[in-house]
Amino acid sequence: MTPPDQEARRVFDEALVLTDPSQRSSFLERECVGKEVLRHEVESLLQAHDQAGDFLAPTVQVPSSDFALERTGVRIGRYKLLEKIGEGGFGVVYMAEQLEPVHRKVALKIIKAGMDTREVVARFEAERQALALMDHPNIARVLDAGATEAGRPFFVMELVRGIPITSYCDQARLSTHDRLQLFMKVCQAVQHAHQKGIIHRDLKPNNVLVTLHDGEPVPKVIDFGVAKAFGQRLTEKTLFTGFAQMIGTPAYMSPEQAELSGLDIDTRSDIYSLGVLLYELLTGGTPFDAETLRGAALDEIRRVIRETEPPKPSTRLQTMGEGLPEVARRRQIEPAELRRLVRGDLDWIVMRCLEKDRRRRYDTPSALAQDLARYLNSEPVLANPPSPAYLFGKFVRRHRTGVSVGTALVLILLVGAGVSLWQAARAGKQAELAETRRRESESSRREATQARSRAEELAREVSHQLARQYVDKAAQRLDEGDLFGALVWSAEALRLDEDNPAAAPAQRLRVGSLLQQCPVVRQIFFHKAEVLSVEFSSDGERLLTAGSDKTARVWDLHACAPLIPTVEHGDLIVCASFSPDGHKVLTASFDHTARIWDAHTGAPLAAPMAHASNVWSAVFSPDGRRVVTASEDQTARVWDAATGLAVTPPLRHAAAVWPAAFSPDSRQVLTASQDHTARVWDAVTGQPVTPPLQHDGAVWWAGFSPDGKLIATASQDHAARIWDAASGRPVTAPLQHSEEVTYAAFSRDGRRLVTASGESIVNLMDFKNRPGEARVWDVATGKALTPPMAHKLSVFQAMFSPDGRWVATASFDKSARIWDAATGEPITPPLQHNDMVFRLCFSPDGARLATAGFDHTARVWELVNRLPTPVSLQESLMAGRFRFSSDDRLVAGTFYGGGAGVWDAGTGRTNTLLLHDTNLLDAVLSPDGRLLATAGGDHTLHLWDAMTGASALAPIIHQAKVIQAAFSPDGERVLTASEDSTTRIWSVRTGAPLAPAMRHGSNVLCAVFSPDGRCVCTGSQDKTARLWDSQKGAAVSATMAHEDEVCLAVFSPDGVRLATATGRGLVRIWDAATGRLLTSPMSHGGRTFITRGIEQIAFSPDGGRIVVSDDDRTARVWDTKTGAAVTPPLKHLDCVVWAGFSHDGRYVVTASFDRTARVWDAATGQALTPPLPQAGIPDCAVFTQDDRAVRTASHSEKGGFIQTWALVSDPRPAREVLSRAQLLALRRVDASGTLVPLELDSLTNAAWRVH
Amino acid sequence: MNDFTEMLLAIEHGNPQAGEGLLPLVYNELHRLAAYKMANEAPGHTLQATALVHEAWLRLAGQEGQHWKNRAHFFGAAAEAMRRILVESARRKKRLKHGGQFERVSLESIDIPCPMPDDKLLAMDEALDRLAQFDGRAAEVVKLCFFVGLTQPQVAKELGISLATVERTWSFARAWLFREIKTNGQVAGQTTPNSGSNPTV
Repeated sequence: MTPPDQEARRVFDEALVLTDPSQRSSFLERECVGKEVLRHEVESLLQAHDQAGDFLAPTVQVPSSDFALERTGVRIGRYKLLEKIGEGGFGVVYMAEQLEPVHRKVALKIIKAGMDTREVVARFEAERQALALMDHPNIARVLDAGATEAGRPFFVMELVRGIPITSYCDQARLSTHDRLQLFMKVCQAVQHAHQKGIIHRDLKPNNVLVTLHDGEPVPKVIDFGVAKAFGQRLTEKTLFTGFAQMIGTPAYMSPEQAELSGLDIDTRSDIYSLGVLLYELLTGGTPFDAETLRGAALDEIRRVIRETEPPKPSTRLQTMGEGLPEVARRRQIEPAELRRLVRGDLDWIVMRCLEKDRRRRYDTPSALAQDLARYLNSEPVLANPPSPAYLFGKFVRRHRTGVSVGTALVLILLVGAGVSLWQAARAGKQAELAETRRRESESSRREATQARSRAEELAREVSHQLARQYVDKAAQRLDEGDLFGALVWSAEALRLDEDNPAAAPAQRLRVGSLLQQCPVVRQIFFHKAEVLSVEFSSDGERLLTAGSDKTARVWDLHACAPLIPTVEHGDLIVCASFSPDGHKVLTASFDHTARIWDAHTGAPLAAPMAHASNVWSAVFSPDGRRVVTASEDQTARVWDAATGLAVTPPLRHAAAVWPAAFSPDSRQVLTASQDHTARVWDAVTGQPVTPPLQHDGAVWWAGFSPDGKLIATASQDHAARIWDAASGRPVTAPLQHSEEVTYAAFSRDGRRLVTASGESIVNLMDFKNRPGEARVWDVATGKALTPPMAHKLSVFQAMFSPDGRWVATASFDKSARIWDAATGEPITPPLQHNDMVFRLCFSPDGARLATAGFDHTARVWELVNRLPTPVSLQESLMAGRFRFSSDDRLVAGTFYGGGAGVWDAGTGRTNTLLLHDTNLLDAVLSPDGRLLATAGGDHTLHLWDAMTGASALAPIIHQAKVIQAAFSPDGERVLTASEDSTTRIWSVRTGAPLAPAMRHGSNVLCAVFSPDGRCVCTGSQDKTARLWDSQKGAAVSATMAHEDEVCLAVFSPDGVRLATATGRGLVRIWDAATGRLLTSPMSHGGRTFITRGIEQIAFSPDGGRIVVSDDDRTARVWDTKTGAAVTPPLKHLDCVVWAGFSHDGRYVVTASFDRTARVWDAATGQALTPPLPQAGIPDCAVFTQDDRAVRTASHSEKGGFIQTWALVSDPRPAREVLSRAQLLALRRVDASGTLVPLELDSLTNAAWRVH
Repeated sequence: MNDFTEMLLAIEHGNPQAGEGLLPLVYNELHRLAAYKMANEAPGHTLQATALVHEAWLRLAGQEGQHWKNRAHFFGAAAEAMRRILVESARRKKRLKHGGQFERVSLESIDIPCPMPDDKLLAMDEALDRLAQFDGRAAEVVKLCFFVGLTQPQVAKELGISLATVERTWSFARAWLFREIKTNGQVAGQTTPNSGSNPTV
């Protein structure tokens, strides 16, 4: 059918407006006179329109309401307004009298118009129960919320007659010590709230009031839950309307709150605000001047908070000038003394709170308070940079009287090689003092021995503590993608813990698993300055390097030694290459010459080929008979390779020429110049062959295609172009980048081109740190074939591997990378240098890559993938929610849109595929792996033979969705949990019900058998969990009441305890026999707009701990007896969907939406492996039976995958590991505990075999 | 900045080629979100296409998300991606059915995570291709309304055109598609397009 033309469209549009049939038909009559086709077309469309009904009907939207104007009244609901006690940008606060159910005075805060009252009140209602859980003497309770008659939201709070904490401290002239004590109480209050799942979001002095109780100051945090109810983000509108004052004053706002997306606030935002408050208590000012922020535009505020590093508190005091004496006076201290007091520990503690990256902040307010307590006790604070000298100093200060000279020496020896002589001397001096005191007090020899052994113990503790801090440092380097830096820290940690049997295995695993992810460096070759050129010989046996140290070298890659004496120029060598037969070496230097050398002896072979200025490039013709050089003197020249004499007149450009190249047949020369052109010349006559190839900026690179028919140019004008080599005409549209194009290279088959972009090395002194990228293009069409392959900074070179499967890029960001040339996905982690990477070269067989770095090294990398190859599950497209069978040999999963499958986890082969029309909510394998149970939105449970897919039983039918299925431990029974409020137990043989239905007041969300099968625990939307006798279906304990729906229930392996999780993110431990609550709730992130809250709970094998994975991006390990956190949160970058213990209980594995899995030390919470990259979004991760590997299942747009990760320990002595790590990183840890560059002098001229 | 925001930036700076990478990126994101959400669907929660697309936007554009004045490119890509995901799912089911591995277990169809039955969806997909051939704008409007679930005022805002234009385009496209599917459906021996439920995913 031909498409309707414009006229038909117009007539149809107009006819539609006419709803009256007669009007419509007369309109058609008029419009379609003599146009039968038109009339037929329009009428059929109109008919279709009328018949279409709700075909393609859009969703119904709820209209938003307008706000009425507000009128004040003296009585609002059950509150009577008494007196106005405050007024601000947000609205007005009244003291009010509550009339019922209790008669009391409260504070009532009425919010200015302009917000969606229903939403505010609804959000508050959602939070109300959690708020009710808060019970802390330093928290003012929020009691109620509602709307006034005029529709404005109001909040009712406990009445606090106090003044802001900062004003109180200044008025009372509290000392720094007293201020810290008061502040720690605030931390504890916030900690309490966090444990109940409440984030304040708006901590500032006005919300931390101090009242006096019997003369004692008591801080009270007010307005909990208020900021969240507003749910408002920082936008122009909020600033304009003054709402910003309510939802977070910019001066106290964390970087993540200042972002425009308000979705991602967590407890660590409160840590930041507490840090600002502490800053103000110490210095009298906020990190960023509140006045400046107030006057700034929104973007500027955001920029400042997100990007500017605030001055340390001591620095702030120092630069305060005239204000300082007053600030000091309010703290009853001398100005100089105040500065000294704040410098060091307090600086660190505050700055740790103010970290832009919240992962670096204290995890909890109580961790902050504990560090302050350590400071007050002269103990080492956690916020410090980890250095032996620091810890040692603290140790001496704390044990000033007990430390003898002997002790000090032991300490120095144990803390080890990191400590310099200077520090040893200083420590020795302090110890000497102590020794004198000891003699004076006539201590006995026995006491001295005791002191010594105590000191040894302490020294071990110091050493181990240091190792733990090194592990944290390693994790930080890893976060920043610096694998080699992480390796150095991990190796140092291993060195410290090497003789500690409790800690060494973990350190070895850490090093081993890190090395497994490091790209393999085969050799490192050192120059005395930047390496600018690197090339393999055509047989791949030799490597040619050259650089700023004016030398070129030929290395034997087998012997890892120089082959010939060093070849020298009078200035830096920017380019060096082998002749096609490999017998000669050609160098181009800034000494204005290019030279030819014997590749076997290093003897000069021909006269120097001289230019009037720096020579940038020199290459042999493919037939080896000629050489072309390109120079800053605006010419290129062709020379005879045997004699070094000029063959053609100079090939002239109007600006510097770089580079120049021969055509594959050696008959033409191609030059690129900064005069905006590239030109093709006859290699014999020196005459131009085509018109100039014109760009709108310098041409940075030019080259022929392998068949010589095409030319590619790369230019400053942000484009690469492809030209016909014979006619000089462009063959495609320009290939656009957003930065200058620095390089272009064809694939060997000539069908694709890879381009690199960023800034040209020519402008090195004036770099603007532009981002870099490479792209692959189709030469025939000029279309991009990959997304950009991005580097943080300029890419100088990009080339295809010999087989065309990969692309390698060399970047200013200190790394080279290998990418999949088809997808643009990175294949390896960054191949790191310690400075920019300028050039690279694949070995002829494509198995190795050589890189030339400004860090004075050339490196040869082995391009092997050491990560496990994912096993792809057949026909698993759109499948997910994979779960392993108990022996992890099978994996079951459900399909998006309906259906389930069972696969062999080892081979990926499909055992069976089943299709449901409706979405499946659960698919589980029986303990013996023979049966598959599927529970679905179609109200049924089905049992299938897991091998054949044959139906094993007639469907079991509920009245509503079946949410979960679970087999009894012996596999004889299966239970179903349904939205019809019941849980039922069935025989897997007959399908007969085995017990009466177990009923809840609402949807059942989870159900599970106890390990002995006698008992069943169910959790429901009715906010209870219940324990049932699985035979009788009768309740066996008291109902376990929760504050919210119960989404998860898990028995401990011995069946003694039970863990439950609620939608609000609270986990509780119960006695599984009596239903008695054993711990206070353990608080997690809970459910939000886009997250599901708690995903998984797993008990340790001994039942003593649980690990809980949560969509708040963390997993947490808790003690099941005390309800206390065992480790800091295990952090991912995205929802953690799975967590579980190893069989020996020592490790935890987590899997996250961030597409990684990770293994952690279950005792310390420190990571044991780097993030293990997953082929898709992981669904689950389990340890193999021997705990020596982790097996994961994941799903992506390509289907499902199984990966098995060996947990590898590095068995080598710590010293060896450390020296190799230092060599890779070219960095070491110095005495002050910082990563510093390695002194290269001793290494120069040398080659190292690394792996 | 990530790939996605760089692409948007390049598009806003007038480099149209940058838009080509958008679809695979958005497709992958939506795909993994959809697959994840479906596989882990919380009981009693129905996932809306609109919410999914907005979530994809937040995840891709990240913190800079609000900075983009013109999100039309994203929504275009998202609509196309949603369409492909649904069509792919329908095709897979169809293939499985014909492969004989299908076992019909459904009682009554409730909560089908697709805006219309599979056969209709595939027919609609083909008709939409034909519509796009002569009126790309109309196809765009249909994709945004139907696959992403945007309202007509939202479509007008995202595409930067007047509401009246959207309404006119929608009426025409809907009538045309209905007629097209009906005509072709009869040829293929199928029934007329049924009244689709709301676009839930």
